[in-house]
Order: sequence, then structure tokens, then C-alpha cells
Amino acid sequence: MDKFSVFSSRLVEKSENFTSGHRACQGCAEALAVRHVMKALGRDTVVAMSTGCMEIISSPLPLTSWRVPWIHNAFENSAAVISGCESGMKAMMRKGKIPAKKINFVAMGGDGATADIGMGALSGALERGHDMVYICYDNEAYMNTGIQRSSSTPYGASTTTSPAGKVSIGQHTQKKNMAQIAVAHNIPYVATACSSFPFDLMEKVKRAAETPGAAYVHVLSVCPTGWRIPTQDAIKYGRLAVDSCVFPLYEVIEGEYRLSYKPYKKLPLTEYLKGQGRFRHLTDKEIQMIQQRVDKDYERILRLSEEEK
Amino acid sequence: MEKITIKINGKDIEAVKDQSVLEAARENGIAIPALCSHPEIETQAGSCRVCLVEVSQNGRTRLVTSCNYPVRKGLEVRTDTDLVRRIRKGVVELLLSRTPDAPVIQKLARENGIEESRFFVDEGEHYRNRCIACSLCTQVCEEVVGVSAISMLDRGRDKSPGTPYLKPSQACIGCGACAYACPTEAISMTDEGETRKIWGKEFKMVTCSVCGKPYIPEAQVDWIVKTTGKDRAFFDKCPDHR
Repeated sequence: MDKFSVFSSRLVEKSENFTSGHRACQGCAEALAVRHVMKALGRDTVVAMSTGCMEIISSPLPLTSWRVPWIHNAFENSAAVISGCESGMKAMMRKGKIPAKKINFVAMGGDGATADIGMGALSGALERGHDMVYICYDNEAYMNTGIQRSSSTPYGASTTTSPAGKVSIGQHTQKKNMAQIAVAHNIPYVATACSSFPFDLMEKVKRAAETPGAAYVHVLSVCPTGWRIPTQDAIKYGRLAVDSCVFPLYEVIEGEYRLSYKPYKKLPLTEYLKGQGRFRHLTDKEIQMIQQRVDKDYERILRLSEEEK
Repeated sequence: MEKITIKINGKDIEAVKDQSVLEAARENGIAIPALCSHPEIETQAGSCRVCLVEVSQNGRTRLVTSCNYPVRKGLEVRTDTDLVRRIRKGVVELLLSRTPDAPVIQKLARENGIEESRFFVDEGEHYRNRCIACSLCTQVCEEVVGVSAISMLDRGRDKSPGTPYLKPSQACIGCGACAYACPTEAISMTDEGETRKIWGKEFKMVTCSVCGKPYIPEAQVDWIVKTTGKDRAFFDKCPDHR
């Protein structure tokens, strides 16, 4: 979809179901991702959202940014809440209390709510196979409360609870690969996306919503505040993450891998790391080590997607 | 922005005068299937006929296409009557006999409880791949892009979009907006290396001076420079490296 460059942006959905005037930081690519996701989903959607940046900024008490039914729940249970909604709606449609039509049930959460706190509820919902979509907005730390590390924080990143210094390198564990965990549940649709590739993101969300059964979409959302980059560069860093293969974009449909974007020229990891304040303490040796791991992970995805062809 | 109240399926809803029935219904969560309607197009062609609804006004009831029927005072719309269902089923069956391959049409058929079209499927010379001749591509080319490179050719069952005399068009800029807008994904556009093929014409792509990625057809750059007066040097670099 990337090739439809100029005029297609005038042809995408115009209505805004996640409206402007919310309180996100300048340059927030996560709010942008939510906006594109809501464009793709349309009005017939029920959203359950975990506590996190997007919940805080979109619903300060008398106001809301949401034009769809929206439930705020605790940190851990958005997947459980949406599976309850889906089952309830199914029962009411069966009894004829509401007219039968296609309604999208969507749970959303940040990386903390998905990979750390809500992991059990999410795993349960995926296993039960509800007709729902889970969307994880991954900004690689608990940004809302002040940049604490999560299990989705990449190796070497400095956060307030994993500060880099003389003794510590920063985050000393590897990033948890949530998309692969979702694939391991054998659900019909898993995808990774990034808000710097809006057409691709919208396509994937549409496909996830159309898929009967559980679907999982992992969206990399650049956070200028937490990644310590200039606010105008949020989109650029999303593209760099994909072009340097740190975050490959792929889909897994019924267990079959499909690479949705192959970088024209694979960029070295330094391109992605050098501008970010959270990585500025890394030495060449450490970057080399991370590069090896990135290459290995990317080659695995590449191999899996080529085997399917 | 004159607001009026109309009835859809017995429910009072508020709509803006002259807005289409389809838009008003969708804003209020009433689903009407439609293929060829697009909000960016000024005049909806109403040619796919899938969005048929029953409207009653001044005691008269009839079937209209909701995408181009304006909202007026006292309008009563029904989207769920037996007549609407029966006619829509027929329409979808006709579409299915024309384009049995298109996934969108197959999905629509499933939703309307059709397993196989009772009409003749012509797989001979009139087989049109996936095109339903809705003319959305030609409208997008004219109204959104503004070049009018393609138009609807022939009449009757031969009707299909194409460039004049089916020869490579001088006007086409290779932007691919038609392929993007097509509801049934019938238009083929392929990018191979530094050339893009669409409508039987090959376009040379501009490559980014930093990363070397071909990202936009040269003809499209010419068109943008001509219409907006933007500096040509701006297109030397791809959006990633500007």
C-alpha cells in the first residue's frame, strides 16, 4: 500500500472517530496510530481500553475524544472486558433484543498493559477465540507515569527505573516479542504495524476486524518524550525502526507469515539509535551486539515469510 | 447546514439537508452495503445498485439508491423490508455472475445468503476479471487527480474503464489512485525496479537521491509541479529523507 503515495491519502476515510483536542504530548505518534485505527474500524465499534497514555489523554473527566462506545477498565483486564462485551452482544442478538449486525469489538492497551500486567487476560481471550481485535500500542515503556521500564523496553534503553550509568547499561533484558507470543496462540490473524506507515496500518486493522475469531495487532508508536527525540521526528523514527529492521512489518494469517514491507536498502542500526537520547550512552561494541540480534530476528521472519511463497 | 429530522427504519434521526441517505444512515449506525460510493466524489454514480433502500414521501413508496438520494423533510426510509432484500439479492447475483472471482463480491453474496448465482457466468471474451463497471476509477481520475486519463468504454455488457482506444494514455500520470479506489481491486498496477506498469503504459520512477528507492513516477512529479508550482528539487528525495 506504500506505493499509492500521493492521491490515495485524499481517498481514505474522512470521519474522525478519535477526535482532536486530546491531551497527548507534542508529536505523539501513538495518538496518531489510534486515530488511523479508528478511521479503519468505523463507527460500529466498541472499544475497551486499559489504563495508559491513550486513556489518560483522551478522557479527562468532563470531556472525551471518542465517538464510539468506549469503556475504561483497569490495567489488566481490557481483553477480559471486551470478551464479555462480545459474548453479551452475541447473546442479545440471538434473543433478538438488538438487531443483528457486524460490530467490531476492540481492546486496546499500551505495551505495559499488554506485555506485563494484562498478559494473562489477553492470553485467555486469545485462547477462547472471541471475535475480537486486540491492539497493542507499543511505545516501549510506561510513558504515562514517567518513563518506567516495561518488559517491552529494548535492550540498552535508559529509562527512569533502568537508568544508564557507570554500572548499568540501562535496560539489561531483551524486548519481549509480543507478536510472536500471539502467534503461539494459533489465532487466525496477527500483524505488526507502525503509525509511520498509515495505509499499511489501516489495511491491517481492517483485515483484523474482518477476520472471524481473535486477532492481534502490535503497533509500534514512537514516543518523542520517552525516547528523547525532537517532537517533529516521531514519524521519521518509526520509518527508521522499520527500515533498519528493528521492527519488521509482517502479518501472520492462519500461521502463514507474510512480510508486508521489505526495506529497499536495509539501514544500519546506528541510523536508528544515534538520535535517540535513551540510547546515547551505548558504545560501538554494545551496538554491534544489538545489531547481531536484530539481524538474527529479522532473518528468521524473512525465512519464515519466504518459506510460505 | 439546515438540520432536518427523517425516519430510518422507524427511528427518528437528525440529518443535514441534501446529505445523502447513505451518509445519514451510516452516521447513525445503520448499515447499508455499498460498493461504488465514495465521499470524495461529488456526484455519486449509483451504478453498483447495492445500496438500494425503500423511501416513502408524500404517500409514495419506491426503491432508490441511497448513495445519491438527498435527505428531505418528512422522508421515511426503510432498509430492511422484504422488497429491499429481494431486489438486493438479485443485484448481488448479477454482480456475482459478472465477477465470480472478486473477494468483495463473494463476501457480499455470503452476507445476502447467496451460494451461487442463478445467472449465466460468461467466461468467454466478455469475461471482465473483477471489474463491475461502477466507474469509480474514472471519477477519481477526473475529480481527485484531475487528469481524466481513463473513461468508460463501450456500452452494455462490454462496458469497462480504459484509456482512449485502449492505447497507452498521454494524460495518465501513473499515480495509482484508480487502483486504490477500486472496490473490487480490478485494476492491476505493478512496480518492478524502476518501472511501474498501469493501463498498459510503463512509467519511469524517480529514485531517491539518498537511499536510491524508486518512489514516484516522473510523470506524476511533472503533474504536481505543473499544478502546484512546487520546486522540482523537492522530489529528489523520498518522504523518508526530506
